Amino acid sequence: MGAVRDYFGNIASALTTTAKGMSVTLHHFRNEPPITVQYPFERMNIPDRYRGLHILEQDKCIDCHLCAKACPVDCIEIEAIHHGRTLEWKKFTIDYKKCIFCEFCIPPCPVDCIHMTTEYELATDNVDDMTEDLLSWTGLRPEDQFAIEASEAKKAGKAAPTKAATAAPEGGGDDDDKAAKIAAIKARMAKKS
Amino acid sequence: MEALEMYTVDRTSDVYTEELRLNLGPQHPSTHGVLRVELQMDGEIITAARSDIGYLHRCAEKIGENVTYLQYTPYTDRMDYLASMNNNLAWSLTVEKLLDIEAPERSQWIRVLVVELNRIASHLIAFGTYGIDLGANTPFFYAFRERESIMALLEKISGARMLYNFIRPGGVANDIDDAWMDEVLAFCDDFDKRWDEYNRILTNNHIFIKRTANIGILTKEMALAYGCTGPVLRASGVKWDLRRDIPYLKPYDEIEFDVPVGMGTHGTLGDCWDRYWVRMREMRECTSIIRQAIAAIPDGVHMEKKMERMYKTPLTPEPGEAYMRCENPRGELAFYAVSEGGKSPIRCRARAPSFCNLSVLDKLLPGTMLADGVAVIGSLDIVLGEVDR
Amino acid sequence: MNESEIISRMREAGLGGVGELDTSAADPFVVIEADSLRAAMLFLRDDEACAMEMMHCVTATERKASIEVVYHLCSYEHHHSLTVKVICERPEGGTHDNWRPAVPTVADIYAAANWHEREQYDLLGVIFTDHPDFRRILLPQEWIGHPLRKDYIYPSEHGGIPLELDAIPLYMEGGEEAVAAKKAERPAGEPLNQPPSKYSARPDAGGKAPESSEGKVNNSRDSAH
Repeated sequence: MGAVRDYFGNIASALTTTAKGMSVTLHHFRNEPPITVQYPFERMNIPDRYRGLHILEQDKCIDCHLCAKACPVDCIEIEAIHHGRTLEWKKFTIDYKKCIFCEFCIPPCPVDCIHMTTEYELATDNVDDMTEDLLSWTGLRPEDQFAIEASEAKKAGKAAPTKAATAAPEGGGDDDDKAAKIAAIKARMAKKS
Repeated sequence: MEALEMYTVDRTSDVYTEELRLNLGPQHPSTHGVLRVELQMDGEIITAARSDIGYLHRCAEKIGENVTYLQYTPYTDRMDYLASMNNNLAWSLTVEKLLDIEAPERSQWIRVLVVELNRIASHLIAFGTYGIDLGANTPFFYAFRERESIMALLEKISGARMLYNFIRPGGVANDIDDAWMDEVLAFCDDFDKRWDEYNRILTNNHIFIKRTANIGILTKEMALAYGCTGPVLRASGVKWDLRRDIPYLKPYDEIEFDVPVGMGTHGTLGDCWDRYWVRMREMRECTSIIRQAIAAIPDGVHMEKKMERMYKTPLTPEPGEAYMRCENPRGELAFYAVSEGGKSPIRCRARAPSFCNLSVLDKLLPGTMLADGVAVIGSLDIVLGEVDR
Repeated sequence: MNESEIISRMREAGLGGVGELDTSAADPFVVIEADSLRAAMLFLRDDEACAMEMMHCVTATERKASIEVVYHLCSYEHHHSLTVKVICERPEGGTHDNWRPAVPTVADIYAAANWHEREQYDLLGVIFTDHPDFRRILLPQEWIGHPLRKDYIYPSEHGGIPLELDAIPLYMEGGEEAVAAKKAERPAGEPLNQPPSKYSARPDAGGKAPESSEGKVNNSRDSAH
């Protein structure tokens, strides 16, 4: 008799407790708003402190490599030639295949020129795209070129060449190049912000 | 594998079933990661078990010997990735012990706050996935919804959703403000209501109790011998919590909280239901700790100014060694760092709680049914990232 | 009890090979000779005043002159803990390829030590004699070498899959020059770590099983089936 009572008691208890649980589900179904965010049509709010892709203020950067040394995974590669205080930029890349977004590259910077944005979309169909170039221009800008040549000419004891004389032969090609680069960084900034 | 004596097949009788060797995992949803368990089956009953780990081995200890003390902090995130804050804390305390310094008082309270929030998030995963293991799908979604709010809260102060890298040697990365603490309080109030819902939907469910009570009984002696810690140990009736017994952060001394232990409510002491229920009650204790911490948090700095130079010049502790234990959601995590005066430790050992808790599995499984084996694995709440490191 | 009281209690019980308490480190530790380790562990576990029911961690640490095996013990009953060390001196010319220190196992005294000891064998090549289930635990059974040794060289291939050669770590001494020298002395096309140490039981690699005095090494995954 006891066994039979246990058997039906189990069934009754299972049914009532499950019904109780289902009432919670039903309550949610009726009263709770949906919380799913319909990505990519909707976006979640990203807080300001979010550690996303990096951005570099190239004009400030002094090529001190402190960020690269602080990186635990060695994903930052920097290459520049020093002409006195002027820098001839070759390379400043972050390999996002390695980057772990730990933020250790930010605090060591003595001039506060590297930052993390709230951009988080890294998906790409090409592995090489994962290495991001943070430079907006490479080499020397025309005015730096002029300043360097002027100082070198001074050292050589010659009269300083006029600005027109050096800037003109380099021609519009460089200017076009620079304009294109600026457009590129503007596009990138627009994408990031 | 040593088979259970009472279950060895009697080949002398006329009719017998051949034993079956079964691989559970490494790609199996109930193993919570890449764990392989070799099972010897007699029909539906497990007669012997041997777990095989190492599929997620990422040389964390070797990496520790090749990076600086500070640079190792993000790597600890990736051990127990469901409780990154707790791992950061354990490593930071180890380095502080090596350096013989103490973090500023405010940072210690912030640490308690974020660590307890992360503990809730981690136990929510244990609760949700345990439901899925036993065939209850709904609690999983509810658990993830609450975990999502915790992740959003921690994202606001640390800048990452899972791998926070927030607690660092000498303090914490950022200060917190009143608005954030208000949000945490609102979450705690909301969470306590949700917690009652969890109990209505899963804890008191008759089928759930039948599936977990009297299954996978871990006796007190076995738990001690195998070095089990955390909820697994407490469910076996040992009232031991590092936060209460050896407070490693000052606030734990001042905060009052209860240490839930297993009582064998629906079956035997130390069964799967006890382990589940200890975790559930711990979540309530966490919200209580968070409320007290927010009420008592002092003003001050979140990191000493002089410690901030560690970002530029690596820390170089004096030659020596430090062993630091911390109460993680899964048990006691300990780091053992040996310094010889250089920029990086010469040995960097992590004593992972899941590793020790998992070692008892081979003894728990024999004698249970295969479907109950899934309940046993789930109740141990392992994270394979930490087992294999 | 604090550490020094525990040690004086061990001395009173007549345990030999127990060294002095070293308080120079953040955690004081005591050095015990390998021969008397098991007796000391049994005493620490069973003595009522010590009651170290918990083996928290087993760690092997390689230093320049030795490999230390460190046992962290603690007691739930009395809230005290003790760090025990066994120091295996490095013999003359002892390297990764030819030296495996041997320490008696405590896996039958503390079941928790079972997996820890297997891990330390796997990563540092410490032989725990008379261990009940002495196999690798994290790495594949057919792996050659013990990666946490300072002079371990990463293999250039595993299972036919080439591995990155740049990943050779800096050595404890010597720095980058030593790495370059190691790279240079490796014949082109031949994988590193070949021929393997004698502890490899992989027949095609030309290894042989170790002598019984150095512990039972069961490298075969299927032998227990």
